[in-house]
Amino acid sequence: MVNVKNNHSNSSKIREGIFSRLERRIFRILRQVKKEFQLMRTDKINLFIALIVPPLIIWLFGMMSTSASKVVPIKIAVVNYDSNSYINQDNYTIITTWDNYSKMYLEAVEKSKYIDLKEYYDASKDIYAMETARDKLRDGKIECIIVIPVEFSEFLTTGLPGIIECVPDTSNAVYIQDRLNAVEDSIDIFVEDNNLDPKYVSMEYQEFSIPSNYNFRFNYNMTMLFSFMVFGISTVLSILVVVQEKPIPRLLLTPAKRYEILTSKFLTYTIVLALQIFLILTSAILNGLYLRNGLLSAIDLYIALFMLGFVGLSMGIFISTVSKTKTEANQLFFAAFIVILLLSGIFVPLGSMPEYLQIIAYILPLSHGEPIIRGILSKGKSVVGFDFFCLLGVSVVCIFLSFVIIKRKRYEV
Amino acid sequence: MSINKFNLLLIKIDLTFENLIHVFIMYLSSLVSKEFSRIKTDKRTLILIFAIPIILIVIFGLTSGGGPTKYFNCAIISRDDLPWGDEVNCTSQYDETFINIVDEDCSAWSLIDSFEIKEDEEYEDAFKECMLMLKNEIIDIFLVLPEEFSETVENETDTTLIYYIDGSDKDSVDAVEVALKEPIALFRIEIEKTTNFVTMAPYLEYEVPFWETQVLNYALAIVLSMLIVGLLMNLTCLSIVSEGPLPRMMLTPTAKKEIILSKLIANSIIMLVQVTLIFVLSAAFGMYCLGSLIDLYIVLISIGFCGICMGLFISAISKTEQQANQLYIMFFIVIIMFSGSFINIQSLPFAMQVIIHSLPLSHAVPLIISITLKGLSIDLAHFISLNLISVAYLFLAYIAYKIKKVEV
Amino acid sequence: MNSVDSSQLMVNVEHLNVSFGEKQVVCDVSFEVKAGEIIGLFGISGAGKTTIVRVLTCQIDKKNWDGHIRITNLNPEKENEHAKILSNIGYVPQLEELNLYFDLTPMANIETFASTYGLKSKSAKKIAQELFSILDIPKDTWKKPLKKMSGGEKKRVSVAIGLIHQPKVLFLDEPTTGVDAAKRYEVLTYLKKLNRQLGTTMFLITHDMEAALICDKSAILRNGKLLEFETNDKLISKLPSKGLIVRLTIKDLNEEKINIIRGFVPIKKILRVGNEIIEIFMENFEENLQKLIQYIIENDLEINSMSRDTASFRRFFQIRIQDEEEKEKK
Repeated sequence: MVNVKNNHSNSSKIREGIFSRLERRIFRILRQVKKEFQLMRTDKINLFIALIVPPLIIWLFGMMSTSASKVVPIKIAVVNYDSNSYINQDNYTIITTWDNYSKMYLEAVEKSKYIDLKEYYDASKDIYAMETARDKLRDGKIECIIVIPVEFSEFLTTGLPGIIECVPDTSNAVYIQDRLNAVEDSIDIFVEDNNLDPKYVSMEYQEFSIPSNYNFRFNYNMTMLFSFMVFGISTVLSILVVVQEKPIPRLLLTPAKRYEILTSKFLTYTIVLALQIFLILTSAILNGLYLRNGLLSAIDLYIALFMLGFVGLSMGIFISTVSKTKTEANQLFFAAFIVILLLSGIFVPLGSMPEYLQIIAYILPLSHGEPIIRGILSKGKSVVGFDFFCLLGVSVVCIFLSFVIIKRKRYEV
Repeated sequence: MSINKFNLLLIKIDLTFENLIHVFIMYLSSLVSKEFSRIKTDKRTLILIFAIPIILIVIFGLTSGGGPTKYFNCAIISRDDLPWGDEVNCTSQYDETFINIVDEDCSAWSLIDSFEIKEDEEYEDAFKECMLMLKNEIIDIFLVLPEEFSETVENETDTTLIYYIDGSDKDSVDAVEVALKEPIALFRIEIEKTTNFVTMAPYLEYEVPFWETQVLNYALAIVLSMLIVGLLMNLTCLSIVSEGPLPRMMLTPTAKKEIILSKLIANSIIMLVQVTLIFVLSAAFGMYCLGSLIDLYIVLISIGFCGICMGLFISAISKTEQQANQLYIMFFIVIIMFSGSFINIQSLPFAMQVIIHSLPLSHAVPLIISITLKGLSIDLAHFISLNLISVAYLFLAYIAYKIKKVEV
Repeated sequence: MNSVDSSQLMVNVEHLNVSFGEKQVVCDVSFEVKAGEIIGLFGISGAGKTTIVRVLTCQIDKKNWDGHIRITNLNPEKENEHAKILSNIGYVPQLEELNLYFDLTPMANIETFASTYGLKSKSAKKIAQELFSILDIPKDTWKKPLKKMSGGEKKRVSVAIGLIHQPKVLFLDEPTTGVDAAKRYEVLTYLKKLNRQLGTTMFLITHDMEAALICDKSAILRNGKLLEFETNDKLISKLPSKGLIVRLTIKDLNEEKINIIRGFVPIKKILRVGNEIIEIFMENFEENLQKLIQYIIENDLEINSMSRDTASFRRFFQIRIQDEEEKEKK
């Protein structure tokens, strides 16, 4: 016959035992969290750098973006061959005085707000005009040469297409498009002013764009910069937390468990991360960050940045767990950070990398940072999606590895 | 004093001076060798110091692909088949030509999908589908050829091209107007309607040749300089703050400036090795350089030196290693953000330009570009500025360390 | 003051062997420790003292040791008993820099370590205050960062942390190292005081022979073997004439003169303890003392001063180790 009373009291004792064990564990973890915060408070400068400096950087960047003038005229030299003789399609040399179109084009160049006409060379009078212009281009005194070819006016007059040649300095990829756009603007003005019909008029509709009262440059760049800033600051916050805590071996001679110590660190730095993200986001919004869906986008963005930061935090704690010395942790951090940055797609497009590198890039967190943020900011997408789950997966792997390593790590007093 | 005695005195002074120099060099070299011993004892760190540049350049060097001009994935909706105007003049002969040109002949365009609308109801569905593709970044732009497309082309009146573009993609927005000229030009040539047509023919000067790895070489300037500055800053940012026995050393005749100098020398030697490694590997992976390789090497060393000085400054002002790490990452972020790659420096007010020009990358990038892609020699203005920045940071490091209170 | 059942066995070690790979670090060590005793573990570096303590504190894997061990009636062989063992013991490591939070106050350190035993802040602070009073840690330092305290104060805080949960056994690694000579005795006095008031069994791992003054029993280890484990009195009584010595200052003492003195048959041991000072152990001390003096005088050796004393533990340790070395040489 089963003794029900005994069984009942046994199982309640077991339940009590389990709860008291759980309570004790939670109590120990929370106390460790308190210790972490106490340690953090002793280094106020560090806290200041972690919490205040990133929003300050964003504020400075916002200020620069807003004060940067929208239009930067391109320094241009025009070399005009149009007054010279030219060879027509029947291979006859014809000398004409038709150069009226070149004069009109020159006016259009001067009218364009995207062009700052620095030099004009009449190649019919100066045979070294092009060389001189090229020298100036080489020395950086001008950014583009516009060449009006010898048959420009003649072709236009006889119904053939008029070609404007341009020689932009393409050594810096960042400015190439601006230079081409400036020349194109002068052509548009020329065509408009001289009623060169028929024209092909483009009607532009920008979807997912930033409203005109927001700074496009700031918003566009923040999409990219958010991810690597948040990831960087969260990783660096945590790379020394395990390796520099000397009393850990003594702590392990108490009932404190290794996983409790690590859990308390995760909890503590997650709270700090949450505060960091809040401050960064607030600074960005105050500096003109556009949120397509208002509060909803703000929440989505907060979650996205938090997730990115959490990946950084997990990687930082992993690095701290695996390193033997602080210098080693530091070096590992930099190696990892720079590899992740290079494979993020910010400086080198992911599509240009070999397939196996692309696979590695997709495992790393930063390649998901920019798409997830851009999706939220410009397209009003939800934070939950493929990129979010990739980030979550990376965090989980780093957390798991950290716990495994600390379990096996040898601590001796 | 007789001449002999004076000569003797001079010899004594000389000898004393010589002795002083000799002692100083001996002393400094022992400090330098102490630095090397410290680095040598941590073998894993030593491996990392030299492995990191190799890993990074290998990754970077494995990239391949085309140049900087924007490539458009597009869709086209043609409403040209819909009636417009009177029956006599109604035509839709040109839309297919245009679509074929975009599909087959354009170098900067790739046609993902096209829709020929026969009825108004079909347009809404096509539009929604294109919008979804745009949202999901399958296409960068979709064009709509209006009902009057062929009619206006035929009648040689102004033709309208409507396009919907991803406004959040700065590259697309900036490049679309110029890029559209390509299909328009080819279309007009194809249909032989080039009257009054004016277009631009660009000849890209100082570009990376198509037979070289364009992506690598265009990104080289920013990536190399960022890499070198970051690496060397990282190498030195803990060198003062993490050296436990330094306060004890202050209780010997060692002066703080000697400490800084010894660290500068030791880390510069390591920097030389690292920069040489990076330089050789970049060349091995297809770095395109029109100019002198020696000039480029000198520039890279200056960049590395700047990184060392900035790292020493961080280490001198930090009280703890955690602070040094935090400062390091903040500096690194600022250096990249304000390098001139995200904001055109010339568009900024003067005061802000000064801030940007006090950071190394705003000089390092133009220096590298002028050598590799323009074949120029070292731009003295940028080179001197870069070295002045290094000296300034070194000086600040010395002042900060001098003021720093160290106690045993 | 805690009442302690001194008959209760706190630590029982039987036939402990520890080896790491091929190297045997501890060989067949056995001892018993009763509740409330202070045990000194003495030996030169590499003797195996720390290794034994590491086994007792569950820091060494079972695969590296064998033997029968019970500590507070628990078996360190069983992993599921480790937590209980760690709750019953305390450990005070040697170097404070490596085991305390220097940026935190003593109270904050106490709270952190106390919480691992389930002690809430209030109770921990109360106990800490009592311990700080016993250990004479000034009240004005309780809320200042630990790094601002003197070396001795840091050491005492470390001891207090080891006792915060009122363990049954406390292990102290080199408790007097780094403490100046004047304060060393003070530290030992504090430990004795704590032992009396709290009844905590204590293990002192030390090179400091002075620590033997407070030890109930001393263990001498060499090359992993336990040479002696007894009360100090019993150890000293093992010496010739139960440890009685005559201390002589001989003018112009040299090896030749020592050899002459050694010629006196009843002498068992001569130790040179100073430039001109020797200590002599001999059989039938009272009987032979006079004869020794006569012998020395007859051999034209000038005695500047003479005194009689009982050998200290330090002397016993010295002799014991020497004897063991000579045995090994043979």
